[in-house]
Amino acid sequence: MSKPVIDLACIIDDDKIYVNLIRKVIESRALSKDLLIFSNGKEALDYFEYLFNNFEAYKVPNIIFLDLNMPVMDGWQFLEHFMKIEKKFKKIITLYIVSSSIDPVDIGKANKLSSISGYIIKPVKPGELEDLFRKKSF
Amino acid sequence: MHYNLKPYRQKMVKDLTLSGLSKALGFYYWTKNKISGEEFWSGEIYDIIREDPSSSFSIHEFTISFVHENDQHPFIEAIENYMEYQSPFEMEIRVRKKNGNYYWLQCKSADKINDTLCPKEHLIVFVDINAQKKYKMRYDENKFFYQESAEMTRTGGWFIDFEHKKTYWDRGTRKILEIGKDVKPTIKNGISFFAKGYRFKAMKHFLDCSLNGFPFHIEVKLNTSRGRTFWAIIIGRPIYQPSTRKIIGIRGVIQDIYELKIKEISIQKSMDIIASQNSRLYNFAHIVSHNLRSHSSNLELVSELFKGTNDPAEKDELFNTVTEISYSLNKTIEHLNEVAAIHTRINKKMERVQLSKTLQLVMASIKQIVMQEKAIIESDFSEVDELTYIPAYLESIMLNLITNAIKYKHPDRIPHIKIRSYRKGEKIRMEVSDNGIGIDLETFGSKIFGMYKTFHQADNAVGIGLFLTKNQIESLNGSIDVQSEVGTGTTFIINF
Repeated sequence: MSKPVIDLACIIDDDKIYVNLIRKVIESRALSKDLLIFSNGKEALDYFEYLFNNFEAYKVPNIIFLDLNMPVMDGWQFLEHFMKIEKKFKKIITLYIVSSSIDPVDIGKANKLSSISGYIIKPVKPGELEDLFRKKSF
Repeated sequence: MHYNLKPYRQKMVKDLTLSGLSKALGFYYWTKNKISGEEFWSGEIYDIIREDPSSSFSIHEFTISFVHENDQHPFIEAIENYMEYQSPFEMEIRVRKKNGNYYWLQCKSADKINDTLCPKEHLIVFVDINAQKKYKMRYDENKFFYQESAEMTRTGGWFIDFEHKKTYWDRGTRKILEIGKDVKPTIKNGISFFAKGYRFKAMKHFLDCSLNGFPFHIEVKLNTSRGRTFWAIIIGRPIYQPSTRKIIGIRGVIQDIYELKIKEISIQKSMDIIASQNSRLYNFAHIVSHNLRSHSSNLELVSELFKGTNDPAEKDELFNTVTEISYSLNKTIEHLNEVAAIHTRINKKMERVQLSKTLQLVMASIKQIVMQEKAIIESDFSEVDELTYIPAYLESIMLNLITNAIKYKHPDRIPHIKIRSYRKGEKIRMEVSDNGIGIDLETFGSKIFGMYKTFHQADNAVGIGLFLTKNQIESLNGSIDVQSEVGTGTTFIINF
């Protein structure tokens, strides 16, 4: 198997079916060495807050795919907290919103935030996903 | 030369006096010799009717030719009574001018003057009252319009006179305030009509107007003398003494806008209902698109992956995913159907239902979990038990709130749920409170009733119950509210 494109990717999404499918894409195309999966913003935030206090560089993902509509803590709420601690990680974390929401309010909001590299409307095409990973590796 | 001057002089004196007077005072006259029957018109009458002064006509001819037909009969009758019985009269007649317009004259038999000035003659004096009459008519017309429009718009006038320290209220104002003539208009009495909470505001404006000359236009609540509370607009403007520019009073109008206000409130209510229905529709459309999209995008992703693999095991696995997706899609559509059904309300009738009986039904259907969790459910419907509602909704609302309370129980406590009903104003209220884990309303407040919103990491959380509950309640014009404290419990309050 070829060398993975990046070291660590992170998916924050409550749709188990989607997560499984994406995982398959990432694994079969060897896009990432490791994968972090959280089913809502709170779980992900807990992880990053722990990391903030117990910093280990290799545990910081290179790329995050964040869903908006999630239980307990949605994507926006996660971002609000995440943006405060992001800089501490001393690593460029590329963050994509991946949502089935085509609400222009959501899209507009995402465009205004500099922490967000892009807004991807589901479904994600395997080829496009790979492009995002490759772009990151340069 | 010898002339008998006497009759001539007499005539001349009379003529001089009358015509002099008539010219000086602006009146006309008519005389008739009691013996000869000769009639005489003062020249100016010809000016009015614009007839050739050489033409002559008797008072009867004059009446027929020039007096307005409605005035002819009373006029002739009065003249005849006067000439025959010396009964004096005074009346107003309309005289037609050559151009066809009528001219108002007041005519008066001058019996007493008659004796001294010309004892042998009948005398009728005509006074030009046309300008006066027109002014009076215009005044009456204005007064009519003022009164009618005041009546129609429920408006009244008022005036505070600083110089004479007097207050005036007109008929309209008294009518609006429901007071008779016996209530003295004073500033103090005026202030007493303002509802509490508006007195200070009103006094401030009156003061500002009287001291600084600021006109005002305010909307206030007033109480009539009979205790009716209503909304009114009061407009006031300062009145200045023309020479000194000193403010000498405030004049203004008051308008009862109670009915307008009621209409405004009812329009506002309809607008609120429309806005909330619109936002629910938008929300629903959003939910439909979002929830269906997430499945369709998964399907698309599966088919992409399917195309990209030749491994039979992987193909099998992907096929299983398709089954999963179709199951979730079905669930979603079921939920959406439930929501849509609430708003179409087909085959659902309002009936008299008892809260106590509905609770019994619900309890029977959830006996299992209640026993399993050892939940205690207390109810008090003593204040109000019966209401008109859609039975299936009431059941669903109770079921959702109770199962919700059990689902989100506190790990250290057995669930204790209290349900009670009572009247709040004209509405019936039901409260369902629990001792569960509670919910952080500051974070989730706006979303608690949203679709597929769950706030706890419980496996059985679906996030449809409260969404349906809220929709059911709102479709019947009710409302639902929530109070909660994390770690202590949650209370749902329903206004039916």
